[in-house]
Amino acid sequence: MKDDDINDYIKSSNTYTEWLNKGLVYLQEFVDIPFSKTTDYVRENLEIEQRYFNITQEVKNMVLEPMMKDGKEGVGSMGDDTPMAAFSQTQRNFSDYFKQKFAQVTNPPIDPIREKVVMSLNTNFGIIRNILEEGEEHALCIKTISPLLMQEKYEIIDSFGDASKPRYKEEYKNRYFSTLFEDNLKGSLEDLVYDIVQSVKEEGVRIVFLDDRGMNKKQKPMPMTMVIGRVNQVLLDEGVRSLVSIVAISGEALDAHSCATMVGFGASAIYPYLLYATVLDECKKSEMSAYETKTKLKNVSHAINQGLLKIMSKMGIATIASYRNSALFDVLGLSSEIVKECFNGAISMIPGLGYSDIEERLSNNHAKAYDLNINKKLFPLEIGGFYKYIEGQEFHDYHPHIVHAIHKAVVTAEKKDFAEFTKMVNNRGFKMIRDFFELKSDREPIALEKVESKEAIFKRFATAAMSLGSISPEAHEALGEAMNKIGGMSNSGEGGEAPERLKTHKNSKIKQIASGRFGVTPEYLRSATEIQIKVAQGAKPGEGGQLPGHKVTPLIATLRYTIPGVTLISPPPHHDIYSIEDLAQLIFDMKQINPDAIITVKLVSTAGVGTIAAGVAKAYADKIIISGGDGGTGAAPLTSIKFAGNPWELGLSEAHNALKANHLRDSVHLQTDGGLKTGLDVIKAALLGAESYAFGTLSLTIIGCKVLRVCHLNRCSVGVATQDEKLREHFVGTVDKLVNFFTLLAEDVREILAHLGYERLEDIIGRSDLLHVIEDSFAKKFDFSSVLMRLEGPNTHNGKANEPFDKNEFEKEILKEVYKVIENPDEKIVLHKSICNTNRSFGTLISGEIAKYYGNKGLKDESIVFRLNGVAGQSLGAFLANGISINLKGTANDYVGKGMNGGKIVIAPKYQGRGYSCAGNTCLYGATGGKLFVAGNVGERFCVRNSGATAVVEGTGDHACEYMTGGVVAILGSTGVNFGAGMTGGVAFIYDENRDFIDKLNQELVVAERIDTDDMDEARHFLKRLLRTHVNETVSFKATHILENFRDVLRDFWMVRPKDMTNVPLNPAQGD
Amino acid sequence: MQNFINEERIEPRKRSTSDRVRDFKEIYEVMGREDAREQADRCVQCGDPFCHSKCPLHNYIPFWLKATSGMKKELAFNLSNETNPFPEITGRICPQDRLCEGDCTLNDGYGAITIGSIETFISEDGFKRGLKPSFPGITTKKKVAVIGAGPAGLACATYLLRAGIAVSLYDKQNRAGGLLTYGIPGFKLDKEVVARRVKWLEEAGLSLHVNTHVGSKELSFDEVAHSHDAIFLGIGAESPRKANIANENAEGVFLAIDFLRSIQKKLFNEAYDKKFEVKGKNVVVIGGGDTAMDCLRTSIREGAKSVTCLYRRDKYNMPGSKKEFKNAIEEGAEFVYNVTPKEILVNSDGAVVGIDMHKTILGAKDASCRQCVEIVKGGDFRVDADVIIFALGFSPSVPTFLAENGIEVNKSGCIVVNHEYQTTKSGVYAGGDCKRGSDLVVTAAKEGKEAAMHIIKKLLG
Repeated sequence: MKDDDINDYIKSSNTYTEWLNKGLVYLQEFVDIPFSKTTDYVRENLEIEQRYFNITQEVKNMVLEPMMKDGKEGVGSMGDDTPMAAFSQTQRNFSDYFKQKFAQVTNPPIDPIREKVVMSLNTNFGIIRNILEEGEEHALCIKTISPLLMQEKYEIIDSFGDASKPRYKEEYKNRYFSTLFEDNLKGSLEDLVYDIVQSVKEEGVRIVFLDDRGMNKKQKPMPMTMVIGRVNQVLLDEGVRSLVSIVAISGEALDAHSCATMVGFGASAIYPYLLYATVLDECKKSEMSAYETKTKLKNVSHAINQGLLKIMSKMGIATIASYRNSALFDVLGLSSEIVKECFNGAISMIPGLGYSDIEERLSNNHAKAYDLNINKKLFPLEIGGFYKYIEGQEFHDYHPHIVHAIHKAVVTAEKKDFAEFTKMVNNRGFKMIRDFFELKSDREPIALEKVESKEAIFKRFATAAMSLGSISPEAHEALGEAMNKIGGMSNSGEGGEAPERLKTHKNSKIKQIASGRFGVTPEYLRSATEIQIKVAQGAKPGEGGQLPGHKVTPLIATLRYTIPGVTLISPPPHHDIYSIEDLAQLIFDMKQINPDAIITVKLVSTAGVGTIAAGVAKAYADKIIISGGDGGTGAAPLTSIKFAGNPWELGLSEAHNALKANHLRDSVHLQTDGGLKTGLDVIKAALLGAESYAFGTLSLTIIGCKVLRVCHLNRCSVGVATQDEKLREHFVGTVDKLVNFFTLLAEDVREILAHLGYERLEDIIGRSDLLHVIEDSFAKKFDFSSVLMRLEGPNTHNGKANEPFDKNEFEKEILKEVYKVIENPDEKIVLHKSICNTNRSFGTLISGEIAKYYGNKGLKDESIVFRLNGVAGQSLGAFLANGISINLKGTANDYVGKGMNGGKIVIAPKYQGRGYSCAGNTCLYGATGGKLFVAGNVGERFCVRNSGATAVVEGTGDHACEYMTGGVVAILGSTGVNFGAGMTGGVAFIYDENRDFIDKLNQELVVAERIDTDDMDEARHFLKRLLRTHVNETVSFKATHILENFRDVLRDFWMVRPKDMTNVPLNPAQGD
Repeated sequence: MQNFINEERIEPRKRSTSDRVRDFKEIYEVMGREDAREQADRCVQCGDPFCHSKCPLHNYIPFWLKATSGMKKELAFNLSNETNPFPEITGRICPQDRLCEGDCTLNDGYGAITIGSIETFISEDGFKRGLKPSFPGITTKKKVAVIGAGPAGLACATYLLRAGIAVSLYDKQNRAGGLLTYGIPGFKLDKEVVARRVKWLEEAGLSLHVNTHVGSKELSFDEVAHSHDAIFLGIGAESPRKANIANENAEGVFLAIDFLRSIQKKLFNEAYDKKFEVKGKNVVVIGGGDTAMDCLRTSIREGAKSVTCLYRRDKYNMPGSKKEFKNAIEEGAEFVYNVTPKEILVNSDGAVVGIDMHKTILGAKDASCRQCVEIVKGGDFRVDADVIIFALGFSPSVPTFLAENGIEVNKSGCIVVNHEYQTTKSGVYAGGDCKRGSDLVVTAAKEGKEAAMHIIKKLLG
């Protein structure tokens, strides 16, 4: 029996459709025009409610306005420099205590936009029954397409559960529970939960409405997420959870993150009345028509839905049903008691504030909200300060005075100016976790001369990854040159680097490889001292990125192997890393292409990063970076910048200790980054286990950045984060400024070392026993023991490379045989070898050797020809260089031609036949050139992020040509679904025998055209030549058949190209 | 927003020089709506709004620029008037080049946002359209006395009234406004603009007592103290500094404040001392700050024969606003730099005929990073003059009631306060020039406002 037969058998085993037709209530069928009713959004005390729920003018500008305007979440740039909610002295949302979880290494995040085909927000209300039983009653439920309700849907759900209404059904019997309280938060919560449980057990309530409307001078709402979490927990304990759906009617639901916390702890649906009320109020103030108002409300709802999808997808979750009650958050700074009782399943970090502390904060917010009654304000709301700096509001570590101080010190290079700066930073109070610790040495101070030189300390400094594209060429080069000058390391970021720079003092020692693989070529990788695999980025872990077309200048286009003006999308996951084994494979690839480089893996701080770090060490990485969640970005949704990723202190100490516990600490080097500014920051990072330190925002500030946070708008007035030529004229950064600052910083480190009585930084790494929590009543609220934990064992890397188990003797031997061709590039060699699937990354070591001497130009075509026989291991021909041809008689595993830049790979199986697979998944991922011919099918995600390779295969799995920006692909058979998602460049030909291709095409960015018309001469000509070559190389039966009947089968071909690209770059010469 | 890459900074339009020196009307026109919108649209909307940070009042500048750019005029009006007791006044007279505009991100190569002009526009345009700062009326039983109706006192009164607290405002002059009325000439700030604010405060419940000298026989400080729940002192710094040189009390030697106040009284058609007439005379002004500029330009308008400014540092070290310096030059004032007065020359009647000056050079930088002035030996020279006006700044005057009531002042005569602006006498607060020494209108406004907040907290909890 085949798959389809089994499916058909099951489908027809019961009258499922009939059951559904009878039992299922589709909410949207009751709503003709959503958002046309707004009566419920008129609030009597709107301003007071807005004040209580922290809707400021800034929130309106930054959060609401983009949602209303474009139906998208607000986008921002740079990092989060505010304290975590628990440490904050200003009004914060309760959802701020929660940091979203995200996938790194262990599983891939999803791209909810390009792969929306797998995503779903479908939400059901009603009793969840035993899934092992089958029966008509399972179909009884109310179904809606999103957990976000508007007035219409809310009223309909309500009407099904209201005994006084004609629609009433007892399965949906509902009751409202007010979440308002006067005092005694914990007691009030317990009373409320008791009532709810009783009503479920005794009265048969099946939909619980938790309602925070109606606050007054005395009563205020409890945090909705807390109530949901507690109710969920007690219902579970009582064994009645599956009977009930929880609906939150809440003013707290203002952005995707706050909604996600509610769903994540058990709410089925949310009715964000205050959000809609605020939108309505804004529409009224702008005198908008009813139609416009409806559109705005709809846009906001759409934006939140998209935001929810994004939050789920970060963790690799596709449906909201899986996300609901998943507790996928780290809880920062709430007491263990609260987390245990309300947020069971989430991870509690730095346990701290208890019910009474939260109550005190709520009371303050409440009093402040009603302060309007005392102080008549012309502008009734608070102004904000959470996203941008406002005097007297939330603390920002990069406030204007700090920026001025840095700009002064880098020019004067004077110690007193630097001291002004460090004084401001070090005396900022309890803002970051490290601020709660003071240094207490076990030694007497020593003379400064005894401390190791600043040069020794420079070696531990690096700039954080910032690509050319996110920052201007001038800024990028200044960082490179300065770090080389002092002996530190600059980081190219991912996006290529001009070949002219690679062998000069402007070369970035660290070359990054990220999910987009932009400009990642053999030459690029070979030029690195360190290759950094970015698994996640602090500002937006679990997400990809996008470089808008207007930023893609000719220079950037060249470096990234595309054409100017083409939008470049980075996927959320590395499509060759879905597991730790995959990461090991990529590390192995890197160690082949550049055996001289150390391989680094960049992770973002989150609970559990220790386990991941241990895995990464076992995957033979040489160095691990723990990035703080406060890291910067050129553009990311605000909710990602703010609410994903933990402070580095947490991740660093966890990783350091987990590596020690697993006896792996000495096999890897540990680095950290995230808001480090002063010598004291560096020392504290060292004490918590970091051996080297990276600076992102700080480096940019040194070269002129004023933390304007407009990187994403291409309007950086200081010419740092822009490609605009006029703006770049205003760039004031210099190598000297960087040298000045890092010199002052290193001296600062030396002075603290002298004070501690230690001669070398090396000697204090991991010495968390020298850190003590400051005696203070506020500090006492928090438990920092997990951060300061110290295990026995080595604290630093032993200096040796983390050799993979697989020594790749196979290719090392072959390299010796072909070396004479590398020495004498006019020679040629043909080698016959048999290969088996333990021989991984074949061709990569030799490619690296070629790139070392010849760059991407490589050798002449067919200088080195391999005739292989057998089954190739993973990554056959990865990062293949020009001049190498691999002809495989047999089949290959995953990642064939990954990152290939030139040369040719031909795979012809021993037996050809319909649907036979010859190569695995993710072939040609990130390829920048070269040719691939496969006389058979390949797996999923063929040609993802291809930007230059030409390929012919005879069938593919799902998601082929995703994010492709260049190259030509011919597929002589059926493809899987979601073809061409995010494809912004290149061309694909598809032979669509079964006439079902259009259904599989993702038509968002691309268009499919027939080529049997007159104006498609060139395309036809090109295709024909390509097929001829394919036949010559592989003796493909299928291609032969097509060529023999070309006129006839032509009508079954599609050509797929991006909609924006009217001029298809088909060079007939490439067809050969 | 962020349209600075396409749009240049423009200055508000100025009346022609020949036209404006003939009267005391404001020389700048209020910006037009379209200009204001376009100029506001240039704003970067920085993550670190330096303008807002630098502004003593911490005005929500980027927010009201955005609102202006988006034509949300009422929002802009409310945002601007929330933090500032009189934005249309600070918009006109703040030295923006040293504050918000000086620190504007775009001030390094693009041209700062014209923050001052837009600030004035927002309120003036709002007033035209019928917007007005609203007050709740006197809703509490509390009563506060504010002594001194200058910028600090007006600011304090404004915020107290917003909280529904009754305010009695006392001033010795004939009109409220302090320096806003009698110090700053009409060509910079139309007196109607000040009167309008005062009128609104009175409508809001302010009881204004002009020509009332607290601490005098008619009204003792005690009386005021007993009839109010708190007192705010905003009595300014009115003692002019002198040069301490020979003949400085001769006929024809004026102090800037007396001169400016008298001319303003003349313009109000109030009684004034005729000795301050400068028509047809050669006027010399000593000093280089904003007050000096005011004296120069007032003298020009009063028909002086010649007007010369003598300043001891060079032109790059002048402490005042660049804008006003430029305006003075345009209007015909002459400047002599690097000179300092040695001796006033008088005729046999004791009237001024000129002044002997030392030449100076700038020496090493002192602790405050300003260069010291050193006298060049043998470089003395004479400047003929019929009138000499000293504009050398002000020190706080210390009324006797302070000491009598245990309100301490420091060495410079500044009233000592704690972080809540409370003086050494409980319930008595102070702010503005009398507390910090002579400074800007905007800093006085800030202190009046902050003191009000502390008083409100104290009285209403």
